[in-house]
Amino acid sequence: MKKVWNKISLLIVIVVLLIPVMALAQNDDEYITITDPNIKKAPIAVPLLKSMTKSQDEAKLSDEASKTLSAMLDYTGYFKIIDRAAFLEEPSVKGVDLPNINFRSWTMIGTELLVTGRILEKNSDITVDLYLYDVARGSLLVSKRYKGKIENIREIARRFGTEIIRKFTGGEGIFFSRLAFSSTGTGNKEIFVCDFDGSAPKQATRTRSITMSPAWSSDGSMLAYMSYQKGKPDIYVKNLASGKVTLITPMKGTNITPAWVPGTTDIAASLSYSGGIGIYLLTREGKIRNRITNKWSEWGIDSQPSFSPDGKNMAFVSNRSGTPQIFVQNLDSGNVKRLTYQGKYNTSPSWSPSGKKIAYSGLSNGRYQIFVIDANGGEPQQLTNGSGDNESPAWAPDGSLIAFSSTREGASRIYVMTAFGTEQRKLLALPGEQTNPKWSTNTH
Amino acid sequence: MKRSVSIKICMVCVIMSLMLVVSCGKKKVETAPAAAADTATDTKPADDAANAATDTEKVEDTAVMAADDNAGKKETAGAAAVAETVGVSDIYFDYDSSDILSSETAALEAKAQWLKANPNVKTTIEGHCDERGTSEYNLALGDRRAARAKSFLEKLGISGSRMETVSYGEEKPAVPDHNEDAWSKNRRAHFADK
Repeated sequence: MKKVWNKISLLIVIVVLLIPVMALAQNDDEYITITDPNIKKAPIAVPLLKSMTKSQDEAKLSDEASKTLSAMLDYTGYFKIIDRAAFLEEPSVKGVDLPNINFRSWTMIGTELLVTGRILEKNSDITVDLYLYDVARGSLLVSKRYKGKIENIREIARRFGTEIIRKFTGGEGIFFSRLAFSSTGTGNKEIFVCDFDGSAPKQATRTRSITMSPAWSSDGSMLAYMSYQKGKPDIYVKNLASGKVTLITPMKGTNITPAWVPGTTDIAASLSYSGGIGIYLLTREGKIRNRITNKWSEWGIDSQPSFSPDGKNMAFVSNRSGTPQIFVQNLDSGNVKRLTYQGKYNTSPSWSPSGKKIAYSGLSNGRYQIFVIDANGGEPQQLTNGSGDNESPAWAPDGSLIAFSSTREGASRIYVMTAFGTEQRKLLALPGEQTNPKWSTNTH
Repeated sequence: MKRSVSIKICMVCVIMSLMLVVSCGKKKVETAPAAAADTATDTKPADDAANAATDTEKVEDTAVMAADDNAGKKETAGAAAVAETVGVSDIYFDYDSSDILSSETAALEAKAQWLKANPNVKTTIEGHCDERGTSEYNLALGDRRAARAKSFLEKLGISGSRMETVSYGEEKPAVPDHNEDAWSKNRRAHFADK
């Protein structure tokens, strides 16, 4: 882990603005409206970068940069990537700067956006210039220079991709976010972590026991999770940089479903030590601050906390009305409101980054499906359908995508869809089964 | 430990056949994993399946007996006969519920009697769930099942200090199949005596 951070800090030494970005006024109308389910995808062309010394290394890096950036932009669901074969001119040959680009030959193939760039490699050091053009207006939107090592090319693609996303959504996108999930491939349930697009999966825990329910700290530097390492369900916190693991539930009983309170290092979790399973607030060292949900029965269950982004409200599952349903508790007043009324089994609430919606999984016609409901209540909207169970929704940090687990192809895998339920695709397939995804914030 | 339990279970099966006692519904459930052992998937720990494998033939016997007679379920005498030998090892629950079913109280009473007769034995009550529903919620539900069984035994005079509880949620099914028959056997509180 340390290595990665070193690399990142090494790499992003210099991000120089070559030309001040003038043209576009940053008014909201220019942004892609991510709340529109019938969004028209923005066509974008990402040709090869111009190789400055015409070396083989540069050619390879150019291809990798173009492919990586295309795949990332495609993954967001905002863009339609124009096939290279359709290009009428090749900026890597003709030139990548404003005067050398014939915008008509780009409008003719239906693209609205064009990325060009050049790459210079010397002794494994690379300098990459990248540009984003508005094809219809023939204007430069973004211009960046990156310096780093050869192995940083994907990182550079992520950074420029984030510039493009920022230009169009006003937000930070997801290219620096990661997912954590459980996987059984080792013969035990362990936590794995991968990049936002399913790439670079890595085993994050080696407990050799049942380990699940990962929860990212606000800054993405720590993972809380539940593990049977000491023979029963307890909550542990792992510092991803140092690898240090702390048991934070020394008390007896069933200690499960951790969730970090946004912007703090406190953790809410379900503990059973004093009758009923209630949600408590703990410090990350394991000191109990207070019980959040009231004890309403010796046999009651309050579990799976998920906080509003401002940390003022908590969604959770309770069987206080007979079946598992989603409730919301205001942390100041303590007032509790039932959110779900349809169906007999609604669990796994996940509060959206905008604070407006809550996703959850609910039983519908004998199958578990993903639903989204307004955080203030109302009519739930069903996002998944068909055979197989769809469970454990988790919002991407920009609210544009939802990850979830599904048994639609048999073994449980992690899938991703837009927040409107469209473009459902498998995130990755590893040995064993994958469940319980959680999405981190951007951590660059 | 597990091996000695299964040996004892075998003995019980033999004794029961000899006595021509109609098995209570619960016992078949205990040994049933063997029948499905070979279908254990890579996702589930296979330890139960492995030690149950030797019992396969007897399992079929008891399963047939149980299928013959549902009334045997409530036969306290049958449960007590079992209790004197090894003690009841499992009680069962309805879907998404930790309520103690009336069909299970005889087994718990037998368990209490047996624990009184064997004062040096301690037991860990494991709460389990079927695979349906959310794995995280099932950890909570399994905990409640174990806690309810413990509370029931405490009311029958068994000291809480002799009983620990642990929930395994849906993580350790007794039967790895995906049907109601398997589910009904996986919704259980299991007594691991020691």
